[in-house]
Amino acid sequence: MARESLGEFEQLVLLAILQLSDEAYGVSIVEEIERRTGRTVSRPAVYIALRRMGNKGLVSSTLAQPTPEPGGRAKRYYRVQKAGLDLLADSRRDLLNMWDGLSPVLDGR
Amino acid sequence: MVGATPPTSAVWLLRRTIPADQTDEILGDLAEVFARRTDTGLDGRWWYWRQASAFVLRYFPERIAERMGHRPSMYWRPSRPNRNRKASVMEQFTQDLRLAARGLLRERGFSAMVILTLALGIGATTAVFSVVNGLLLKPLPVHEAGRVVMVWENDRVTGTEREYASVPDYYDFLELNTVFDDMAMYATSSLNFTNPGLDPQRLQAEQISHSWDELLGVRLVMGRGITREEDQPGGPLVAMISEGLWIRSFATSPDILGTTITLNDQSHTIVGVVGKEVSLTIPPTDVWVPLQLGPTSTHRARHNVGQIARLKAGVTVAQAQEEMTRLATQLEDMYPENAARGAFVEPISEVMRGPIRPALLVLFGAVLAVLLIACANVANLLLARGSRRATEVAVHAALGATPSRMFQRFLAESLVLIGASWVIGIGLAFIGLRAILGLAPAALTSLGGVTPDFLVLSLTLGVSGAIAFGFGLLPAWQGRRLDLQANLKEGRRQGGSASIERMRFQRFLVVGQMAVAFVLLIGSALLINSFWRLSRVDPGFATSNVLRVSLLLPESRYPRDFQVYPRWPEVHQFNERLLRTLSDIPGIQDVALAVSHPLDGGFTNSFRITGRESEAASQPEMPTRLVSPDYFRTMSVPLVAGRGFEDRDHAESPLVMLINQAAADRFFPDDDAIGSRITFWGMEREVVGIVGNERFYGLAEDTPAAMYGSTSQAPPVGGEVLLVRTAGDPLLVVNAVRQAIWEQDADLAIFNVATLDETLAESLATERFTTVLLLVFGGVALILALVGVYGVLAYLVARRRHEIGVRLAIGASSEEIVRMVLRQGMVLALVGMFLGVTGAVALSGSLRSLLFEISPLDPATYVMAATGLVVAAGMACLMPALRASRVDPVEAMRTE
Repeated sequence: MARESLGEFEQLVLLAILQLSDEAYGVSIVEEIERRTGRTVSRPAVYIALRRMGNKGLVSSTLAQPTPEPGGRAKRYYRVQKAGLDLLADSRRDLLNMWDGLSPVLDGR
Repeated sequence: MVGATPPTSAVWLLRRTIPADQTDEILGDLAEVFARRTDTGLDGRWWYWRQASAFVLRYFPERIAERMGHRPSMYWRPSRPNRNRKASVMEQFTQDLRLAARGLLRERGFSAMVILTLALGIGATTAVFSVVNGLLLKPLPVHEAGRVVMVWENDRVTGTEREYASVPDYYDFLELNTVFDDMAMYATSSLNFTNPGLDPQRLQAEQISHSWDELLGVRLVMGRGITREEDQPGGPLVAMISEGLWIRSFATSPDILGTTITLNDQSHTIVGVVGKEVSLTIPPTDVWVPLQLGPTSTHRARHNVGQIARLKAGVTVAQAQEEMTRLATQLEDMYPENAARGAFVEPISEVMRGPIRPALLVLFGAVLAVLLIACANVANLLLARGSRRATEVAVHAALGATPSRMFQRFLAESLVLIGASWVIGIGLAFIGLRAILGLAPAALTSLGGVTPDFLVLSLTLGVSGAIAFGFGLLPAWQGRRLDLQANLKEGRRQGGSASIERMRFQRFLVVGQMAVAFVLLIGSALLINSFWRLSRVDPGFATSNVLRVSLLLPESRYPRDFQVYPRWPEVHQFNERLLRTLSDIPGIQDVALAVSHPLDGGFTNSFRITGRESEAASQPEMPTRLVSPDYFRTMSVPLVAGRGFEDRDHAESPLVMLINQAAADRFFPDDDAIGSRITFWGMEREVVGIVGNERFYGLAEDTPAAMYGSTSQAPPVGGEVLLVRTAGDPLLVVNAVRQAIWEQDADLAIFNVATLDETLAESLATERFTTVLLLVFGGVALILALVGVYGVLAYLVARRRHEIGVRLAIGASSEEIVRMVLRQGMVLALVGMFLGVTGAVALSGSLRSLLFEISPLDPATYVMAATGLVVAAGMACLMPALRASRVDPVEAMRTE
C-alpha cells in the first residue's frame, strides 16, 4: 500500500503553524504563508486543509479563552502533532533526495 | 472594536455554508481581519463579500457531497484520480452534461427544433408581456393612481363624453364637491423656446393650476412645484421643466433653479425639475407653467381646461360620479351656458390606458397561444424521442444502471436543452422588444417605461423549463418499471399498450396546436383584411408631395386683440408675405396655410343658421377649419358649388365662409346652402361655396359636417400649419421653406416638419402595429403547428415501417400508402381546424373594436384561413407520406 504523503499546500500550512509556534490560528497562518511566499492564499482552502488534517490527526487545535480586549473572542490555535511532523519530515527527505545533484541546473536561472 | 460590523447577509450566507464545527472559528477570524481593514481605511465590506463568496464556492460542493453520504476527504481531492472510488456526484453530473451535449449535437435536427421552438416561445412571450406590463399593468407615475380621476364635462346634445370644463365650472365644482381631497386644472399648449445662439424650439407645455403636482404626487428631481401665489392672475412667471429638457437643453446643470428661460418671448424663472417618467401627455410635456386663471378669468361658455381630482379616501368612482352629476345639474339650473352639460368621472388609468388596451390584450392572447403551441411541440418532440430510446433505457437498466443514474442522464440532457433555449430565448426577448418598440406608434411608446420584464422572463423560463424537464425525464421514469424483454421486442415491433397510450396523447397535442394556430390565423387574416380596407379609404385630399410645417406666432409680436378681431395686421402681414415668398421658390407648386393639418381634427364650434335659430340647440358643434384661399387647390379638395375664398375676402370686406358637402347635405337638404348665413364666434358669415368631403378624424371615421373660414377673415390664434405642394420630393424644399420663414421672423419655432404621406402612415400606426404583430404570431403559430403535425406523422411512419412493408409486400400500391398516411395527418388537422373555428367564433368579440368595416365573423376570411391551413397541413403531411411509400418491403421485414 502506498505511503501517505502531503500535498504542497498542506506542507505550507503545517510549516506556517510550526513557524508561528504558539500564535498559529487561522488569520496568522494565512498571513505567515503570504508573507513568506509572496503568494495570495485562499482562506477557505486553508480552513479546509486544517479541518482535513485535523480529522487525520496531523494537527490538533485548542479553543483559547477570549482575549480581554474589546470585541475579543475565542480563537482556535493549532499545533502540529507527531504524525504531522513525521509526514513533513518524509516530504522534506523525498524532496531533498529528488533535488540531489540538480543545483547546477537550476542555479543559473 | 466599535462601529463597522461585517455585512449581515454575507454572515448569514456563511453560517449556512460552513459546517457547524468550524463556523465560530472562521467567522471570528474573518471579523478580525474585517475590523483591521476598516480601521485602516481599507474597504472592508467588499472584501468580506469576496471572502464570503470564496467560502461558499469552496464549501458548497463539500456540503452536497456530505449530504450524498460521501466521505468529505474524498471530495477534497478531486484532482487526484483514484480508481478505487466512485466519481463524486458533481463530477459524474458534469460528465453527464458533456455526454448529453455531445449526444444532442449528433441529433442536430431534433435539438435545433426543440431549442428554437422553446426560445421562440420564451422570447415572444417575454417581449410582448413586457410591453403589456409597461403600458397597461405598471403603476402610473402618480401617487395612489387609483384615487386620481379626470372630471370631464359631457354634452347631451352632441353626445360627446369627454369635453374640457370651463374655468368658472371648475371653481364651482372645487367649492361644492365633498368627494375630492383636491382638484386641479390643466391645459396643453405649445410654447416658443428661444435659447440664445440656437434655433428657436417649440416646447410641449402644460399650463397647470398650483395644486397639480401635489395632487398627482409626481416625482420632482429638484426644486418645488408652483405655489398658490404664482398661480394668481398676473402672478410671477415661473416654470417647471421636465428632466428630459433639463438633460437636452441644460446639460443637467445643478444650478438650474432660479435661472430664467424665454418662453414665447417672456422670461420665466425655473422653480423645479419634474421626473422624466412623468409623461402623462402625448407628446410628453417639456415645461409646466402656471395657468393663472381665477374664477372670473374666462367665460363659462369657453371649455378650455381639463380637470383632475383626487378622491377622498374611501370614496369610489361611482360615488364621485353621482355627486358630480348632481352638481352639474345644479349648474345647469343656474347658468344658461351649461344647458345639457353633465359631468363624467373617469379614472386616470382608464383615460391613459383605455384606448390601447384592446389591441394589447389581443396581442398578449396571441403570444400566449404561441407559447402554448411551442410547449406542445416540445412535449411532442421529446415524447417521440423518448420512445425511440425506450430500448436504450431498457438495455441500460439490464446492464445494471440504477434508476437514479438513468434519471441523472436524462436530467443532464434536459438541462442542456433548457439552457440553450433559455440563452437564445432571452436574446430573442431583447431583440423582439426592440423590434416591437421600433414598430410601435408614438402613442404607445411615449407612454414610457417599457423594459424587459424580469418577472415574466422568469415565468416563461419556468414554464418552458418545466415542460422540457417533465417530458425529458419521462423515458427515465418509464424505464424504471420496464420489462426488458418486452421492451426489446417492442422496440422492434413498435406495438404495446404504453406506446399506443402515448400516441393518443401526442395526437391530442397536435389537434390542440392546430386549433390554436387556426384561431390566430383567422385573427390575423381579419386584421389584414381590415387594414387593407382602411388603407384604401379615400381621404378626400391628395397626400403625395405635400410638406407640412408647423409655426407658432407668439402674442408678444403678433398681438391678439379680440376687440378688433379679425383685424390683426401683424398676423395678416406675416402670412401674406410668407405665402408670397414661398410661391416664388422653384419646385413649389402650391402653398397654403391652415390652422390644423388635414389629418388633424382641429377644433369644433357651435353655430347658428340665420333664420333657423330655434334649431341651434339641437345641432352639434361642427369642426371648423381656418384656411388660406389656396388650401383647396393645394390639397386637391374639389369645389362642388359656388366659389372658393379669393383675394377680395379680407379683414375689411364682408365675411364669407364655405361648408363641406356633408354639411350641405345635412343642414341644407333643399340645396339652398349658398347665400345662407351662419354665425360662429359671434360673427355672421355668408356661405359662398360648397367643397368636397375631406376626412377630419383619420381614415376610419366618416367625414363630419364641417365649415371653413378664411385665414384673412379669421386669423389663427397662435399656431398654424404651412402646407406646401411640390413637383418632386417635398423634403428637398425643407431648407428653403425654413429660410423663407426665418427671413420673415428669425425667432419663430418651426416644428412638426413632415410629409403628409408620413402623417397618413402615422395615423394608421396603431392599426399597422397590431396587424403586423398578429400576422407574425399567426405565422409562427402556423409554422410550429405544422412542425408538430409533421413530427408526429413522421414518427408514426417510422414506427409502422414494418406494417407498411407488409402492406406493400402483399400488393398495396404506393399511392394507397400515401393516401393512408395523408388521411391520418389530415384528420388531425381537420379536427383541430373544427375546434379552431369554434374558438375563433367564441373569441370574435375581443377583435371587434380593432376591425374596420369587417365583421369578426366574416365568412370569406374564415374560408381563406381554412384553405390556407388545409394546404399547409397537406404539405406538411406529404413528406412523411412519400417516405412511407418508398419503404422497401424486403428491408422493412428483414429488420424485424
